[in-house]
Amino acid sequence: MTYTSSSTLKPAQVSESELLAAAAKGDQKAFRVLVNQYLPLVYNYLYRMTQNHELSEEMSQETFVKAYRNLKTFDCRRPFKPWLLRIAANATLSELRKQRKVVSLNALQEDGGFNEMEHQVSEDMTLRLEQELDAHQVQQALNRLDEKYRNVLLLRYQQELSYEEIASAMQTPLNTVRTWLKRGLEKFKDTIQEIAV
Amino acid sequence: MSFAETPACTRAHDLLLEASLALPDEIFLNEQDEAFLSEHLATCSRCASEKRRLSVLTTSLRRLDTIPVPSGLEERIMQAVEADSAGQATKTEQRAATGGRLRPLLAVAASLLLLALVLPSLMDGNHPSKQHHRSEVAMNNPQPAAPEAVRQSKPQVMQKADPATQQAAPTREPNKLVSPQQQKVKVLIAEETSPVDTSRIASAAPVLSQADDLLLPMEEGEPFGDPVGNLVGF
Repeated sequence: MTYTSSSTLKPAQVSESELLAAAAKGDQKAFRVLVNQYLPLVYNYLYRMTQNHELSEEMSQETFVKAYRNLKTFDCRRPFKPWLLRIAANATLSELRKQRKVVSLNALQEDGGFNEMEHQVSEDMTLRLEQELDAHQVQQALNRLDEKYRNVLLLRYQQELSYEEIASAMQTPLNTVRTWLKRGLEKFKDTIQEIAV
Repeated sequence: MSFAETPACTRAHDLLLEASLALPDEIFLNEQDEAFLSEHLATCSRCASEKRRLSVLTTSLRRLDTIPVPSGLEERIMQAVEADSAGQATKTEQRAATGGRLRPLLAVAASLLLLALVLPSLMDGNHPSKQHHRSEVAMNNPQPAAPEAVRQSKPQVMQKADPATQQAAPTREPNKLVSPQQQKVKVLIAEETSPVDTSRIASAAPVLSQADDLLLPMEEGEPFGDPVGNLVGF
């Protein structure tokens, strides 16, 4: 492949599969182009999941190192983005399970707390949802969701992955993804209502 | 909020959720569903309001601000990639080099270990020839068989090895002359045949219940795969 540095290489010049094939053979310059292209996406996803810049930085590094190490096993004809996000998702889930800091909505529901709150939400309050929500509220609501619901919603709405790609990224059956997306959206709506109260 | 007002509302709610999960260039509903939904929304203010709410929510999710990547992160990632691949290469080389060099040493170590394991049992009289001698003694002295056999055969062996220990030998308890392996077997047999100590089971119960608490609950639909970067089968 004829390029000297990442800055001289434009995505139009070399296809992604060519870059991946070159990187799999140990071409770090080719891999740098991929890092440059996908880092914002990976970093944003990790930050939305963890709400921690330092952790997101560490995990971005871990994601790309693992991706580079395992490129030899990756079929370069397949799309790179879901594969990369799968590595990032695995790292996130593993980290969040360690921390267990996030309050699960399921736990609230089991305690009966959620149902009580649900009853307190008046019709007037739900009307506030019809106004534009600010990013802080959205993030707050996302943080309160169970990891799996937050994950599928971010992969769908932020990363615009197809259902199949999400299933692959999360190593979960397609029908489960479908269910999680519906439930996730419902729970997100309910959580936003709680926050609006 | 419950949407079980009417069956039509329930169906409309399901379709609204489906439609809300579609990406901008995707069509999720078929013509029939589309027709039903628009007809229902025209007459049901509650479902129409739900549609607006879902639309705001999905727009907000799509429009979440892009978080800027910290400066220098790309460079740090590339340095980590470089260091990792250099480390991987060194590890492979070292494994190849040390594996080749250490192979004869490992063979010698394994032989010595085997010898160390076998030697004590030979010294204790487990050798076939000594076992034969012991069975002869046992036949001549049937009461009590095993301790007598050990007592009669062992001092002879010790006498040859170290005369100084000869005087001490007769004062020893018969079971002291049994090898550690034989002693362990005896203890195990004694434990196996002794009655069950229920107080020990009772004292273990709280510990077991604590151990139960330590097990992580399995979440609904949780994948069974390795959570950390298992890339096999992708």
